[in-house]
Amino acid sequence: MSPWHVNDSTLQAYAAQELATLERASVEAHLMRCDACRGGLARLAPASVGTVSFDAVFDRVQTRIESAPRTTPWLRRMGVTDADTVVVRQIGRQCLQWTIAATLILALAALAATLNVRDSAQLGFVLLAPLLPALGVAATYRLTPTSTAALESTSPYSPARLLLWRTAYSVATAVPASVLFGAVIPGDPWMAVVWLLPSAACTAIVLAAATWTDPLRPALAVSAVWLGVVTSWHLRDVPDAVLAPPTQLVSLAVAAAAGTVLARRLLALRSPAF
Amino acid sequence: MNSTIRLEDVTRRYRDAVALDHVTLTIGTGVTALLGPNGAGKSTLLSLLSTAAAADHGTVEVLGHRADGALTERTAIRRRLGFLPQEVEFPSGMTAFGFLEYIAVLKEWNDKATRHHEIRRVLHAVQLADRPTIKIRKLSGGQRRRLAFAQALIGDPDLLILDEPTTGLDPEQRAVFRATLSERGRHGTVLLATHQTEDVGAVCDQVLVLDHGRVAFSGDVPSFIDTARGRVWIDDAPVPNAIATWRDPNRRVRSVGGDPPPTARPADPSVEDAYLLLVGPTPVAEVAA
Repeated sequence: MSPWHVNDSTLQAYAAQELATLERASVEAHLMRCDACRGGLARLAPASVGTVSFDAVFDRVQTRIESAPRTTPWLRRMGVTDADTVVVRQIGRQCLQWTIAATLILALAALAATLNVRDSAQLGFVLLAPLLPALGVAATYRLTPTSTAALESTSPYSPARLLLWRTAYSVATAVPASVLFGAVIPGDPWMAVVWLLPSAACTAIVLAAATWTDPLRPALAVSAVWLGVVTSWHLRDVPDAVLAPPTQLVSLAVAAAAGTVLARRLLALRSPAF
Repeated sequence: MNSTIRLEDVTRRYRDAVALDHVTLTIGTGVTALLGPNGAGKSTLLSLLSTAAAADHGTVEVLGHRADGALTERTAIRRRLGFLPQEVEFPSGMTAFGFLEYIAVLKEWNDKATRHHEIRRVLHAVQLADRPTIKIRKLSGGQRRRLAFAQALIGDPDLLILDEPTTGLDPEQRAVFRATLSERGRHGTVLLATHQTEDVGAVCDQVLVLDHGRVAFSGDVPSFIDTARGRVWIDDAPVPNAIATWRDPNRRVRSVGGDPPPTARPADPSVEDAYLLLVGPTPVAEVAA
């Protein structure tokens, strides 16, 4: 052991990180081989040397987290609570890839209709636009890891509330893009919005059925039916049938009926699927 | 015993397979180990108790509420429940803090300040206090397992249901985990499904063994170990017809069951010995308490 020792004032300056580089290196070299000075340092600055102050770390972390810019301030302005914002952000994170893929496919359909690559190219858009919100609801469930879904299903958070937030996310991400792409398709200007009632019908059916079963099943069934309807329009050479009042009226009636079933199911809150 | 969990004549089937076969049992305060071979019905039992699934027949009562009842009954259980599934896949792109915040919101921690305080508390409890803002994909396997355990601790639940919680933990982390469980068992109920029999002796008060969907043993740990007394042997060579043999630290051969020769000495049994004798490849006898 060295006969020389670091004095208390130097140790205090070292602990406070106030020593110059050369002096600090000299003290550290001595501390490496001197138990007495290491003990003295520990007594002088027990909280700052040799241990990690977790409280201090957490304070910094808390500050970072709570002061971090939120990506969803508009949700707060709409009256969405802080807790629900956490849920919506989680849904968005989980479904980002789906949202991007769905938007790209819709853009391609709109591009094909705009370029009029075939006579009935706009039917591609008519096929896709009404289905995206319904398929999006199913996607929000299927893209959730199984174990996370188990934690959701065994938590007290209302499954109906979770279903409605997922629906809101799907509608909010699919509808604006569909309206935008529909607006650029040449032809009838109503094409931008004419798919909304069929879309409402498809989505309401999936939501009502989701109170009994996995949303993917009704989403696939509804997609198959809608594909059949659009195909029949193509075969009968009536590509504008979606604009016809009967189509809109039937869609409205189906949406109202499915919406009524959904409302009754949510109010009853007795679904085994929940 | 003040029962937290009560099952009466419960049966659960998956198509033609019977996962639980007319099971009747009670579980009270303390740490209870749930043992059994793969396919014995452990995960099915945990699903019923955590309200993730419903029984086909019988009564499942948890914390005084029907686990297969109306949503209000199940919600009452869920408010006092911490559940750790066997494998937790974390949502992509999340941090440890973000994941716990999502689970905390699901558990109705709606006030932001108290929610964040609770998250920091459970991160401390699993020794991940210095990793909250790290992406989960950058955590080690043991750290992810501890993070999964942390979400079950949110809200200091009255009932903790843990499915294989110590998988992937190193000995030091396992010691911390055991200390946490022992503390939890003093004022609540912990149901610990595990294949780690050393955890049973270290932290559990009671043992429940399932085999082929039925209760093979239910009782306290000393009683369970006693079922193997006089059936475990130490010798220089394996005992004929033993169901399991291995070398102990003294390089002697430990045999479970079998027909001991005169040179074999009886050994103090362990939880593992009792388990092997109960559900091993050739069980010596069916034991129920």
